Amino acid sequence: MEISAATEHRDQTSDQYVDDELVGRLVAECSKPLYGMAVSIVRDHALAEDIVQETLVKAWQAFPTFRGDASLVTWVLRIGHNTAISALRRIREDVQDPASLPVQPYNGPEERVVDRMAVEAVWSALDHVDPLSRSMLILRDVEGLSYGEVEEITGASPASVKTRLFRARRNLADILRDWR
Amino acid sequence: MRHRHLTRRRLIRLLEAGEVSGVIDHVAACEQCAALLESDGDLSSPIQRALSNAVAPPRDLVDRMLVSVADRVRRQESIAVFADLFSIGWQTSKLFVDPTTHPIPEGDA
Repeated sequence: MEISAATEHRDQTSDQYVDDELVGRLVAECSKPLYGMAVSIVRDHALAEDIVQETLVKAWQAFPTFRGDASLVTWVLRIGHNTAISALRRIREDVQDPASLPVQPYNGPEERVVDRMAVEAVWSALDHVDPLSRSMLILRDVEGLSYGEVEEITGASPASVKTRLFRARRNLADILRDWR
Repeated sequence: MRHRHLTRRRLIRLLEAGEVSGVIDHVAACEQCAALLESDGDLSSPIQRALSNAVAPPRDLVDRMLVSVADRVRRQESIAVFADLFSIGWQTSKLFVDPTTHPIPEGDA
């Protein structure tokens, strides 16, 4: 179902209607990028899942106001970014040990050890990067979003996005020189 | 710093010295330096892969979210329906007990 058609359908059938197709689409398209961004900000596996759920419910509630200026994923990620930053403010001093974060996907027993070590090294390197820059790094270099989309989601200026990304990549590359 | 283009080395030195806001101000007004930042620093593929693994969601995330989000949405809708029914009942009862409600004149009935 097209977004505009979904909105129309929901309006016609009153607020008491649960559009399963819309919920399904929000979950299918947005869960993964939301999780990656959230965990990069709060660094806590369970909290990142809570943020994903909270964001998707907020997006469902606010969907009638979605005008389609940005893509659906960008719009939802913007809501998710604000939700994650608020969550970070609440739990700032109580973050999960990065070494306990799950490593996925596993391709085989040999690769498992290598992946695990790489992930631990990445999380140690990310310690040296602030949460806002970490989220920019994930949005741009993992999710492959454009600079413009990263600006829209994080609310940062173009210059800020470029500078922070440059610094974060350099930090990561310096610390992880052995993984190049 | 505003009117001098930054070399890569100077840029790195400034950022390492914590001059982030100074660099941001300069880059905001200087297309050439903005392009330098944009063109430089793609992560190598092993680092990119490790980064991607580090933030990968659990395999069953989407399935669990489908259930939990739909459940929360339905609960909210149920509350909304209950509130609407309560409101209708309240308005109806007001019709019977409200002294300001005037009876319909016999000729109009």
